[in-house]
Formats: sequence, C-alpha cells, structure tokens
Amino acid sequence: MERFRWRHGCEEIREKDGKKDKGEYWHWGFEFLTLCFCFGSGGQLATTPAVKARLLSAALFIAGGSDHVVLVAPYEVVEPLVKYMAPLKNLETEYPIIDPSFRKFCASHGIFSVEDFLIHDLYMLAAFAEQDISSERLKEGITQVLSIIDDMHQPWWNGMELLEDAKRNKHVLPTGIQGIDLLLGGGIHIGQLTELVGPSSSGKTQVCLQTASNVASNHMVLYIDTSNSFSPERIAYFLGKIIDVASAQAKNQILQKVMSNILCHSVFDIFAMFDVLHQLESHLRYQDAGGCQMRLLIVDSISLLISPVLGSSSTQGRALMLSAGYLLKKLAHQHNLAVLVINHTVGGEGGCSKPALGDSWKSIPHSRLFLSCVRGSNDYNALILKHPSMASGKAARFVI
Amino acid sequence: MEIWRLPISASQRGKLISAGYTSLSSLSSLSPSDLARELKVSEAEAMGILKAASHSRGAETSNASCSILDGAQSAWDMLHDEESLIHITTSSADLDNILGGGIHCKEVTEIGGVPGIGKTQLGMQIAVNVQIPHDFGGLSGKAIYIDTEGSFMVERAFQIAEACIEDMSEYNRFLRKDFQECKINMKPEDILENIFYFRICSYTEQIALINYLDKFISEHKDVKVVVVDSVTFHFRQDFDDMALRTRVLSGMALKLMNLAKKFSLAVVLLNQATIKHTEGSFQLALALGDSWSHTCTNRIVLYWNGNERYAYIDKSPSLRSASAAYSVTARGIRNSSSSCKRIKMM
Amino acid sequence: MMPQSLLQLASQKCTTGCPILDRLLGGGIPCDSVTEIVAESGSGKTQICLQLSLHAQLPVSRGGLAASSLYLHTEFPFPFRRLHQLCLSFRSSNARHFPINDNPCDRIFVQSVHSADHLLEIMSKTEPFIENSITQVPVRLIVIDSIAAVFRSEFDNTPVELKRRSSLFFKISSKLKALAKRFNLAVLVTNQVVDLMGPNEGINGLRIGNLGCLYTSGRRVSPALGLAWANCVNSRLFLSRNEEVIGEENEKSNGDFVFKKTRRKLYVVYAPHLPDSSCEFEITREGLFGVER
Repeated sequence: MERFRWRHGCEEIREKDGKKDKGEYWHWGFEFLTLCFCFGSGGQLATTPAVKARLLSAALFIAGGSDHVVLVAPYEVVEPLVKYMAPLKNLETEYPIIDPSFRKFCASHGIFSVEDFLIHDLYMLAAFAEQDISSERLKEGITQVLSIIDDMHQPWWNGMELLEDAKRNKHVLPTGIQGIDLLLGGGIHIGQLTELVGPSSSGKTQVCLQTASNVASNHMVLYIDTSNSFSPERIAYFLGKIIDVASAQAKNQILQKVMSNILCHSVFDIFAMFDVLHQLESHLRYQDAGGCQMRLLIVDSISLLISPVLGSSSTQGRALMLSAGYLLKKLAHQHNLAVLVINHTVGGEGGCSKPALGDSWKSIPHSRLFLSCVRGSNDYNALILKHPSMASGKAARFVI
Repeated sequence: MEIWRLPISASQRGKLISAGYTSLSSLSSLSPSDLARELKVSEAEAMGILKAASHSRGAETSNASCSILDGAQSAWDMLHDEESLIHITTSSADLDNILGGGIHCKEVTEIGGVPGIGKTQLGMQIAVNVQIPHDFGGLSGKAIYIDTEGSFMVERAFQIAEACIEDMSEYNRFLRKDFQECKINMKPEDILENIFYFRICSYTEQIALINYLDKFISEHKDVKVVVVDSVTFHFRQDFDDMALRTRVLSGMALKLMNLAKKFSLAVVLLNQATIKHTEGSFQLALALGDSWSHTCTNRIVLYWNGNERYAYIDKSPSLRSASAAYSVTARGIRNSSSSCKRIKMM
Repeated sequence: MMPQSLLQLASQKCTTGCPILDRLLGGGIPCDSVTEIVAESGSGKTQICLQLSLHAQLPVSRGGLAASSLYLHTEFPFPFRRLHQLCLSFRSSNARHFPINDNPCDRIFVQSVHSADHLLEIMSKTEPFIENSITQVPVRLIVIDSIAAVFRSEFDNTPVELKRRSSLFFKISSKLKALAKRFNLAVLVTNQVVDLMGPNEGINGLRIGNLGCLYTSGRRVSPALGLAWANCVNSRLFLSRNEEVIGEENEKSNGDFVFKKTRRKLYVVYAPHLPDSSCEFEITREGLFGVER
C-alpha cells in the first residue's frame, strides 16, 4: 500500500503543464499560492468521483473567503482537480444518467470535466439541450450534475440557523479548574480550537489532564499524546477528588467507567496524526447519533509534531501545519468537539518568550491562553491572548 | 477486528486479503465502486461486503469503545498497565521516592546538571540497575548506553556492578536466611556485557544511531533502558542555524518517545547546564533552549545544596515537584544522610 | 553500527611517573578522555605536562603508553631547559628501557599555537600526522598548555561573542575527543584561573564539582573559560599552592630572611572514575612527586 506520497502542488502544476501559469487559475477567484499539498494513503481516502467533486466544492468554498488555499487530498485526487477537475466519465459508475451520449453532448460544448461544467453558461447549455432530440434526458443529466455539485459542499447557513446550531450544540465544557472556567466564562467552547501556550512546566499538561477527567464523566475524550506525558495515575487522582462516593468498590466502578471514556493515542509524527484524525472523522460521521459522544479532543502537544517539519526554507512544513489546523477546526465544527491543543514557547527577542510556530499558526486557534508558573508558589497564571468573544489581556490565577 | 471474522463468502474473503485488506478499519473509508474495481467483483457484491463490514463494526463499537481508533487505549487500561510496570531503581531510596519508584519505563526522562554533579554516575547506575533480576524486583533487562562525551569509564561501571551484586546477595541473605541460596550467578562481567555501548563522535552519527535503534532494539527485545550521555554535547557546536537545530532535536526527541512507547523501555537523556542571560541577570538552566525543554516527559535537575547533591523534579506530568538529597559513593549512587557523610581525604 | 564490548574497552592509563599520584588518579591520565588541569601560574601545570610527555614513552608494562607525544604550547617560550633537565633524570632512572644514545626529547613534538582558529587548523593537520606516526612510535598523548591563553584576548564580553566562543569550545573539544577515540589518545589540557570577587552567591559562587570553592595563594579563584568549557572536559584536576611560614625561631636567627615553604595540593574536582580526593605534592629538580602524609 502506498503511503504518504506527498508533493508540492505548485511544482506539480508547472511540471505537468509548463505553459499554464498560475494566472490561468485566477478565474476561480483564488490564488494558487500554497495550493494543494497532497498527502494521504491509498486505502484511507477514497478517490471516488464523489470525493473529487466534494474536494472541488470544498476548494470553492474556502476560496470564497480567503486568498490562500491549502488542500489536503491524495495526489490522484488533486491531479485531475488541478488540471481538468473530475472528468465527467468518472461519474458514470454512480450516476448512469451521465452516459456516453450525454458526455458527447457536453464535449460538443467543450465540457469535459466538472470544472468545465461550473464555468459554463448553464442557460445556454439548457437552451442547446432543448434543441437536441433527447432533450429531456440531457436536461435531466444537467440537473443531475448540478445536484451532485450542490450536495457536495456544506449547506449554506444564515445567521439564524447558525445561532440555533450554536445554542443547540456549541456549549462550553467546564475544565474543572475554577480560575480558568471563570476566566473563559464557563470553560472551553465546543466547536472551537483552544490553544494553551506556555513555557515548560507551566501546567499545560495538567490543565489538559484535569479537563479530560472533568469531561469524561459524561462524554468521550480523545487524548493525542506526543510526548508520553499522558498520565493515567494523575487522571485517577483528579477523578478521586471529584467522585464523592463512600464505598471503595462503588468508587472503583465509577472510576473504571469514567476512565474508559478517555482514549489515549500516542502519535510521533504529523502524518500519523493525520491518520488518526481521518480515522476519527470517519468514525464520528458513523457514530454521531446516540451513545456516549466524543466531545473533547486534546493534542499534547501540536508544536512537537510540527517543529520537526517546519523549516525555514521549504513551505511544505508550513502547509502541513496549516492543514492540520484546518482539519482540527473542521472536526471541531462539524462534530461538535472542543479541541484543546498545546503549544510551547520559544525564546523571542530580548529574552522574553513567545508562542512557537510563528505568525501563520497564530490565526488558527480561536482562543489562546498563555499559562505561566508563579515563581515560588504553587499557583499558575492564565492570560487570554486571544478570544473570539472576550477582551485579551484578562488574567486569572489557578491552582492545580 | 480482522477480516476473517466477517460474515462473507470464503472467496470474497480471499480476494479481500489478497488485495491487502486485513482489518475492518482499512475498509472503513472505501466506496463500493473502488472496492469493486480493486477486487474485480461486481459493485453490488462490493456493496454487500462493505455493509457486512460496517455492521460488524457497529456491533463491535457498542460493546467496546476502544475500537474507535486503532492503537488507542483507554485511560483505565493504561492505569492497569502502568501499575504492573516495574521501575528502574536509582539505588537511592530517597531519589526513588520522589521519582515514584524509580525511572519509569515508556517515558523519556531528562537529567541535567553542572559538570561533576553525578550525571554520568547516575547514567551508569541506571544501566547497571536495569539488569537486576526479576527475583530482586528488577527488570532483568539490558541497557543501551550512548556515549557522546567519552565519560563512560569501564572501571567505574565495574565498581558499580560489583557493588550492585553485593547488595543483591546481602538482600538475599537477609530475605531467605539460607546460606545455600545466597549464591548469585551474576558476575560484574556479565553486567558489563549486557550494556550495549555506542561511542558517538558527531551529531550526524548521533541521529543516525537513534534512527537505527529501532531496528537494533527489535532484534534485542530485552533492552529496557536507553541512556544518552549527553544528548547535548554535539549540538552545542557548529549550529549557526538555530531553527535547524530545533528541528533536528525535536525530530530526535519524537523518535526517542516512539522507542520508549513501542518497546516499553525507559529513555534517560543526560543534559548539560548552561548559563542563561535573561534581562541582564544570569541564571543556571539546562542546555538546548526553550523548545527542547518541552520535549521530555520528565525533567530532573541535579544541583548542589551546600555540600550535598540534590535532585529536583522540574517537570513531570504525574509527579509533584520535590527534591531529595543523594550522594555519589564508591559503590555508586546512594542515599545521602548525615550519618553517612562522605569521607573526605584531605 | 555495532555496540562495542565493554570488556575489551578497559581504558588504558598513562602514568604520571609518581606512584602516589598514580594511585590518586587510578593509574594515571586515562586514554580516550580529556583531562584538564586547572591552576594559577607557578603551580606546576607545565611540570606535569612535561613529565607526562616523557613518561608516555615508557613501555606499557611500566604504566606508560610506549608512545610519542604532541605538545601544543600557547605560552612562550617553551621551557626547553626544564624539559632537558627532566629528560636527564628520566633517562637515568629508566635507562634500561632506552638505548644509550637515545634522547627521549626526540619523541615530543612541539608546536606553538596563537589563536583558536590556529588551534583548529593544527588539529585538522594532526590527524594525518598521527596516522603516519603509527608506523614508527605512535602518538598517544596530546598536551595543550594552556587552552585559556588561546581564548584570552580574542573575544568581547557580549552575549553574542560569548556564544560564539562557547560554540568554539565545543568544536575544539569534540575534535579532541574524536581524535582521542580514534587513536586511543590521552588528552591533557591545562587551564588558568580567574580571581573571584564579591560575595559567594549567584553565578559567582556557582559550584562545579567536589570543591565548594577553589583557593590558591589565599585567593578564591575559579577556572577560566566558565561553565561552557567545564562541560567540554571529562575530568578536571585542580592544583593549589599556599605559602606557609615555617619556624618562628628561624625567622629571628636569620634576621629579615623568612623561611617560606610552598604547600602544593592536587584535588580531583570531578572525574567520572575518581572519588572526591586530594593529595599533597612537591616539585623537585627531578620532577613532580606526591607526598604521603
């Protein structure tokens, strides 16, 4: 099985089609600047026409809002997407209506791929179809293709719907740490990416473990561990403080139940993390109804995975970093997860420390908390660096 | 879950396995048309296979939540695993005490301090102690010692090994009170033989070796500790590009983490101390900078307090920060107490 | 890449030429290791170096390395006369190991060093030199006397310069260690001391090794080149000297002439194979010898 064949999208375009400059793609309304970082494995991401079309619409979706597009897809998917997009032929297996005669009609108008379809004047096309002998069938075909495309992108939501969704699904998860819960107005937000930054031994992992044990009594928690710092003993200790049952046996039972809700997965490179996240995504899609649902995803620490690939000279590491960020945010939004990631600090100018991973990562998390240890005491400090609904600069003290 | 438990026909099963699909999860994100193409069967048939797969997956997830992800473990299981793990003793009860029983397997522990504080001594002690047999509460494992500084002295390791064996027979005598039994079949030479010693002369060698360890350890499964003495030395020269250094170091750290987890062994990294300039003042800190300080699971700082050596837990996810005194004696690392003050030959 | 067997790795030692000192040092200066001697000037650093480069020529059965040595000196002039003096007594006491007309000085290769870059340049040339020497009398000892002088003037006291300097330390040290490993050499480096002023706290009182503070001639000192260099050597020895007035009545009888005796002591500051120990020694015409008390 081939794994992780990754290439740089722009290089690929130039190599395949020397004449086609990136200007050619301007009519899409987006810039192929860091476009298309391809990764994946043959078995994990299927390359059906449906997926291709979805990626196309995803690209368009993102393109509406930003200048830069980073696409995560297997190479085989990206190649047709970049050059011809999905050929119509590929759709035939799933949608018999797109038969050779329909494709012949499309070809006569210069339409070979889904991409061509999108940029074509559809009214004109419909008018031409009208004149054809089998006009009904052709029109049916056009509607079919359009509905395929329509199905693939996220549904458009207006503000009311978003508000409703937020009220219904996007609660806050209390961390169980008084200072932080007060500071954040209840806890960390579901559907958002919260980042904890701080120098070493500033309580980052402790906050994560405490939050995990607090959430686990009602929900599933996934803990992605990169530095072997997941400590079940510590979780048991935190839980022991919460559970208020007299008999040791009952306590043990509750402990077992709650601790079984916390899953830990060790991951030692960024590609393995992508694997886990994709697996998680397919699982969540399948499981979204009923049962004990996953509500919290912790990555401790994301910076450790990214820093080995984040180079000064190549943009590949940056693209990987951004796609990891987008994937986490997507998971958070679509499956109502609160995502908690840990970032570390690096020495900045003048000896003061600043969050690692630089400016491009800065924009990814919804909220950022800076943790630090108060010298000479057991107290820790939390400072809001960034929060969607709160002023930055607020600080709180907490004890672990 | 394995493919062979799927309720499908034998020929279909054969086709799946020969196409490389061995676990259910490998089928999870496939579409029927893809599968049909790959197995050269009809699409309806492929659909049937996928349905069967998703059914049995559903059945499985309902009774065991752990199968959500391959390789994930629930905290409860991990707690039990951890309880059954044996720690590597440091031969100093006080030190073991603050470490929660000794050096933990499956974790990366960094130990740092000024020259002469006893880092190498501690490294050698751990490499010897990992070989204490099961009967004496040890791991009965082997050790890998990666020496980047040339500080490993065979004669000293021999001394420590000798003392370790003596202690064991003492313990034996105490426990069994049976003079027949108190013979121990271990010799210091055996202990030295079970330390795989690598001498490293440049950082490229160091990285290459750490990449190679995976293979080496899978051939020597009884290796239970990897000591790197010191991880720092070759990274403090010739690195103009600090970003490159950070990248290389964090890559190396991840590899070591992976080893620790995969083979359930302890990784002990020795680090040097350096002087950090912050806002005009000077402070003693461990070398390799801020980003390195995040990479280890545990961090232990050794320092002088008056005339005594102390160890301090600077960082650990499961241990509270505490400090304890220890001493370096002729027999190795031992408890420090006022009653056994080191005799100075002055 | 295969692990080395520790049983075959037992490290060889090069005798200092004095049984008492050898006992303290566990047999002498170890091969495949960098040993540093720290002392103020006039304490006997150079004496030990010269003595060692002579005794390295002894056969292995007598504790030597049966080898020639490389002597890099940064302090001028090179003490030829003292070497010659030591050589004479060395030859007379070890006559049976050497042919009659043989001069041990022929097997000490001397080279002067001006700067850190010069030192690096010399070291890169050293490798082929040692390689060629294997056919004759192999080089098994490198002496650098002293390392501090190389770094004395070239660097400013700014963080950037200090960083560059410590990077050079590690570079030099790793070159030395690589040579030591490849040819199984003993490496001996001397270092000077700097006076410590002010209170004994903070970075000023940073304790390295077995001794809380180093005292020589009644002053509190610390080894030059700081913590970074301390990380670069495997073992560190310290020589102290203290003037002592002996015999009050002698003073009276001799008028204003005062009998003074220099008490010299060698301390193990840190070494992976040695306990915290020390020993008194004296310097005579024949060389440097330990005194048993």
